[in-house]
Parts: sequence; C-alpha cells; structure tokens
Amino acid sequence: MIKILGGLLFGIFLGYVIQVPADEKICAVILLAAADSICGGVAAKLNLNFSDTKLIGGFFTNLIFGLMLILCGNFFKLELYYIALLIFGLRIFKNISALKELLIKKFGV
Amino acid sequence: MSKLRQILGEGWSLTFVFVIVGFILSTEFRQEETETVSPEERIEELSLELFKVEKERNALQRKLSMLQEEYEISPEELLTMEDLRLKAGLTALEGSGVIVRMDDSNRELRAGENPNLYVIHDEDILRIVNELRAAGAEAISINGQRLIATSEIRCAGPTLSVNNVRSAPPFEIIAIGDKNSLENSIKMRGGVEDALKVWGIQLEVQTLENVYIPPYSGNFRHVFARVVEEKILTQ
Repeated sequence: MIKILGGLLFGIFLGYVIQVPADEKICAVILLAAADSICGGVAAKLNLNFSDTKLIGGFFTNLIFGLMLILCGNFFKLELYYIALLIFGLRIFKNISALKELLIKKFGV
Repeated sequence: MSKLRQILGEGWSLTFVFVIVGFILSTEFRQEETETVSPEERIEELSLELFKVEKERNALQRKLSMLQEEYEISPEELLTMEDLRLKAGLTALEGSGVIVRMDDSNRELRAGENPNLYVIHDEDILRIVNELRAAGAEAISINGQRLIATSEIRCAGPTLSVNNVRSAPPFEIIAIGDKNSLENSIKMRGGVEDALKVWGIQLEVQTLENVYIPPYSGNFRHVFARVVEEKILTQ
C-alpha cells in the first residue's frame, strides 16, 4: 500500500518536473489502460494467480494497441480511439464484478 | 532491473502502473492551468504595451511639429526632385524584402463544386497587398507592375489587371521592407495564408536580402483634378 502511494506521488512529482506536451486522447488511453491493469491486478491478487510480468505485459500490449488505434484514427481522420476507451471500460467493469464475486466467496454473506 | 525488483518486492508492476497514472494526472492538471491562465494575461500585457507605445508616438508627433515650426522648414522644401520621384514610384528600387508567389489551386475539382473558389481573385491579391502595406512595405510590384497611388487591382476575366496591364497566374508580388515583418504579416495564424490554404491556393513567401522593383512605366492623367491652396477641413 505504501509502495503504491509512493509510486503515485513519485509519478505526480515526475509530471511536474518533466514538461511533456500531452495529447488528450493519448492521456485518456494511458489512464484507462492503467486503470484496467490495476483492477485486473487486484482481482488476480485475490485469486492468488498474480504475476508481475503478466500485469506489465498486459498493460503494455493494451497500451501499444490503444496508441496504434489513436495513430490510425489520426491518419484516417476517424475517432478510432473510442474503441480502446470502450473496451478498457468494459474490462474494468468486468474485473470489478469479478472482484465482487471473489469478495463474496471469501467472506461470505 | 533485478535489483529494483528485489527492493520493490512482489507487486512492483502495480507500483510502476501507479507511477504512470500519477505522471499522466499531473501533466493533465498542469496543462489545464497553463491553458486557462495565459491568454487573458497576454491580452492585458499587450494592451498595456500598446497604450504605452501610442503615448510615446503622440509625444514624438508633438515634438516633430514643434521642431518643424522652430526651424520653419515646410515639408515641401525637404523634398528634392529625386525624393519626389522616389515617392511617386518613378525610380527602380532595390532592398531587402519578400517575394510572394501565388498560383491557382492544384486540387482536383469534385463534381458539383464551384471552380471559382479555387482560382485567385483580385480580392486575394488585394488582401495580400493590404497586409504587406500594413507591415510597412515601402514599394510593391505585382508581376512587374509597380503599385503607385492610382494603381488598380481588379479581375479582368480570368486575368488580373494592374496599372491597366493584364497578367495571368502565377502571380509574383514583390515588396521591399523589413523582410521578417512582411513575411509574418502573410504567414500569421488566421491570416491571409491560412484563409487561402483552405481553397488549396498555392502561396509561397520567400525572404531575400535584395529584391528589385521596377519603376512605374505608365503615364499620369490629371484631367479633373486641379491644384489649389490647402484648406482647413471642418467636420
């Protein structure tokens, strides 16, 4: 928990120090990809099949595909990145419901 | 990498993802801040500067008229014959400036589109000339025709008429003046170049240390105008 908070603060600090001209679409895709990975990671941890390499690998493959969609969208003048946002959102909801199931199973109601 | 992994232990990937989340969040926040604050501040800054410069100009104008009264030199005496010829546009000139080359759009017409939108009109040339003059152009020529006080720029069928001489695209507008401000006057955001680029009209600005502008070669006609004493206009 402390490590995670530290990481978040370190990232915020990094963002203030390093000036990056960020595109809105890219920010949205990265943010949602991260949220997806976090939900998936927590669900996996409760399921006891958590793996660091899996999480990082999933995060980067999702991110790269999302960024490719943005690039394609810019090239064809289409809002293709909505696909990435939609799928990330769906996955987040799915992971959250899986989390809920796991919690219910673990503690019982 | 393995050392880092040891320090962070299991779950380092989550930490890494959170670092990225923090990074994105802070860049987004910072961008919103800079975007919302700066334009208003800039406007205020610029209007203050304009106010200052205007005051300075008025003071200088007063000083100039005072000095002219003091030395009792009328503006006419200051002008020699050569000066007058230069001001009338009867001398060839050379100096730093820009060459603006324009040609009709090379975009292919789609069915039902008005071809008139994709050719250069007199208004386009007028806008460019106007911008160049506003940017302090001292002499301007269009396809070798020197612009003087009585020059016209108008459509003559598919061609352009300047000083009653017709020419067809491509047009070459040459202007002498501060070459950077001349170039900027054409290329500024939301300016002439942007407006013409929408229609695909080809426009190219070239800055040069030395451009040549020919003298006015037509004749002067003053049939209706008579020279009289200067009158004070009451408004």
